[in-house]
Amino acid sequence: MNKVLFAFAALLLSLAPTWAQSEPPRDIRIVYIDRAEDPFYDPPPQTDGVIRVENKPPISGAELGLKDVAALGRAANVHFILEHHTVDADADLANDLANLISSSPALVLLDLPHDDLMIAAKSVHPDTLALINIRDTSDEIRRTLCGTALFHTIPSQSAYSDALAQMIVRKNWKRVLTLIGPEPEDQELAKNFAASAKKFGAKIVDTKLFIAGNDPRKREENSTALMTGDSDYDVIFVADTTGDFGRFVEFRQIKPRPVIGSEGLEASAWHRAAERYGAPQVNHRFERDSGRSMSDMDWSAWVAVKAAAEAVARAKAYTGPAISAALLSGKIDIEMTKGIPGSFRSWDHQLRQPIILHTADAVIAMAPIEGFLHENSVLDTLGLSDRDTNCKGK
Amino acid sequence: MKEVYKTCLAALALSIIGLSTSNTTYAGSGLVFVSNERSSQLTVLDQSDTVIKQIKTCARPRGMRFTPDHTKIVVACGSDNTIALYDVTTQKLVKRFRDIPDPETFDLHPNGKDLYISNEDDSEATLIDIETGQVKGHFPTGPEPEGVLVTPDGKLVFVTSEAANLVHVIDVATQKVVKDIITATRPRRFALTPDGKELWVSCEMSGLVEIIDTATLTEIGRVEFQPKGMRKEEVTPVDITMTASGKTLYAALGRANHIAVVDVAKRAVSDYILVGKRPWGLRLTKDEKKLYVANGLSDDLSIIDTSSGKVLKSVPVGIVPYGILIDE
Repeated sequence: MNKVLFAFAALLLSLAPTWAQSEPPRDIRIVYIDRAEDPFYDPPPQTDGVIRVENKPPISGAELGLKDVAALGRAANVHFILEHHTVDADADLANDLANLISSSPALVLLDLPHDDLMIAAKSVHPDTLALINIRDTSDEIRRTLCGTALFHTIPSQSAYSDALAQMIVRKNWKRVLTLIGPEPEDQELAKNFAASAKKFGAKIVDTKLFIAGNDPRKREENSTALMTGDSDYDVIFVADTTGDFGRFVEFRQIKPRPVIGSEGLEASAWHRAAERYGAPQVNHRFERDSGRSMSDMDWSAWVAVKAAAEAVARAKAYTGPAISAALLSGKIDIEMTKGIPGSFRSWDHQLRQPIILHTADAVIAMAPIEGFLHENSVLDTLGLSDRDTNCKGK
Repeated sequence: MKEVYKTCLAALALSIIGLSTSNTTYAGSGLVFVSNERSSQLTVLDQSDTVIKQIKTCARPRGMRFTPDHTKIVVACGSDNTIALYDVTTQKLVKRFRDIPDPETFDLHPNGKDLYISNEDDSEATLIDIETGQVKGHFPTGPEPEGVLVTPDGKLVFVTSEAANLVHVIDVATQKVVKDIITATRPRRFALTPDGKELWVSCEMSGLVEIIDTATLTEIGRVEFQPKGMRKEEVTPVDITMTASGKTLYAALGRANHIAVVDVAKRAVSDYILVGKRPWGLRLTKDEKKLYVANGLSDDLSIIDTSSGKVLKSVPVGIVPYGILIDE
C-alpha cells in the first residue's frame, strides 16, 4: 500500500512544472536625494492667520512606489530597495553625488531646489544612470538641460497651461481676461499660458496686473470688481502663485464667467478625487500610509519607481545605464493610472502623461482633450514638443 | 515524504469533490441579476428582459456568483467590506460576512464552500469558507488584485494584479503562491479553455488578451484588439467569456464601446459589435444564444443575439452596472 502511494506521489511530483526560482534575487537600489533645511518645505507665512497647505516631502510617494512594485520584483527575481540620502545644508552636492554614484545605484530621484538640480544634471555623465526630477516644473530646465542624465516625471508648466488652453478652446470660451500677480513666478505662469493660448487658438483680450492689499488709492489694481468689469471675455485666467488674491476672485468677479489657472479649474499631474483607471486605489493606499492626499510631487516619485520597475522586469535592465537606456527606448509602457500608458520623450526626457483638470473636489476633464491630435502621440499635444526645443535627444 | 503524502491525499480528495459538484444540472427561473456598483443595488430582469425589481444591497456590489446549488447569490461589496449571500427565490439577504477588506471579485472552489476573493485595496487574496465565515487563508498579491479563477479540477487558483501586471498562481493543496507570471499592462479577467490547457487573460491597458499555457505557466500567444476608427488607448478589454465548446471568446472592450468576437483556435478577431458606453461585465445564456453586456458608463445592458452579432435590446438598469448572473 505504501509503495503504491509512493509511486503516486512520485508521479505527481514528476508532473509538477518547474516553477521554483533558483538564483537569489538581485538588489535594485533606488536613491532618493534631498537637501537639509530646504526652504521649499518651510511652512508658508500666515500673515492673516489663515492656514495654508504646505509642501510635504514626496518621499512618501517613492515609499508607496516601492511597496507597489514588490510583487513585480518577486516575479522578476529582484529586490527593490529605497535609500534616502540627505545632502547637508552647506555640503557640495556634486561631491555627494559622485560618492553615491560610485556605489552604482540603479536610479536616483531628485527632490532638490532649482540650483541643485542644475548642478546635479551637469555633474553626472548622461550615460551613468537616470536622475529623475520629481519636483521642478520649469520649462527652462527642460530646454537647457536636455542631453543630460536628467529625466522628469513631474509635468512642465507648459503641459499644465496647454491642458487648460485645450479645455477652453474645446468649450469655445476663447476670449480670456488674465489677472497676473506681482511675483516673478506669476509672470512666468502668465507667459506660459499666453503661449498655450496662442498654440491652441484662444485669445487674451485683456490683461490686468494685480497687487495685494486694500489701499483705496490703488483700487484699480486690488479690486476684483474693477478689474473684471470693463472688458468682454469668456473666462478669467488667474496667475497667482501665492494665492492671497486669487482665492477671492471667483464670485467677486463682475461678469458671470468661470475662473481657471491658479484658482477655479486647475491643472495637475494628480488629484485625490480622480475616480477612473484605478486612481482611487492608489489614493487609498497613499492616504492610508501617509495620512494626507497625494500631491503631484508624490505621484511623480511614485511613477518614477514604477517606471524603473517596468524597465527591470520587461527589459531585464538591472544597472543604472541599462535602466536609463530602457526608459528611453520607447518600448516600455508605463502604467500611470491615468488611462493612457506613458513613455519618455527622447528630446527632453519628459514623461508623456495626461493632465488632470479639476476643481477643489472633482475631476472635470483629462487632457489631452478629445479632438486635439498629434502625429506621434496625443500626449505630445501637451508640453514641449521636439519642435519647441533645440534638443535632439538620443 | 510525509508532507508530499498529505499533499497528494488533499489533491485527490479535492479532485473527487470537484467531480461530484461540477456536473449538477439545474432548471432555474431564468431571472437575470445585475450588480450596480454606484447605486448599490441588484437589478432583476425577467425572461423577457424586462426589469421587475431593484434590490438594495450592501455598498458597491461588484463580483457575483451562484452557489453550486443555485439557491443563493454571493455578492462582493467593496465599500462596506462585506460578502453577502442573497436568496435567489425570495431575493432577501440570508447571510453576510463582515470585515473582508474591499472585496472586488472572487471565484468559488468546486467544493462549494471555499471562496477565493481579491481584496482590491489590500494587495492580497483571501480564502473564506462561506458556510462558517472563517477566513482560512491570505495570499500576498501585487497591488489591486482583480480577476480570480479556480480551475475546474480545484487544484489551482489564478489571481490578476492590475497594478503590478502579474498573474499569481495559488496552489490549492499547499495553499501557497507558487508563481507570479509577468503579463502585459493591467491584467483584469480570465477565461479557461474547456480542456484546461489555455488560460486567457485580458490586459486592459495593452488592449489585448494574453494566452498562458497552464502546464508551463508561460505566455504562448496574444490576440490584439483594434476596432476600426478607435485610438489604441481607447481599447481597454476587461471581462472575457468563452463558449462551452471553447470555440468562441467574447471580450468587452471598455472605452472602445465594442464587444470583440474571437475565434479561439485561430486566435483572431472575427467581429466587433457596437454596444453601450464602457462595457465591462459579460454573461452568456446557457444555450449561448444571447450575450448580456453591462455598460458601466451608460447605465444599461446591451443584449446581443450571438448568431447575428446584433444588439437585440438595450435595457436601463442601475448606476454603473458591473456584473451579470442568469439563473438557469
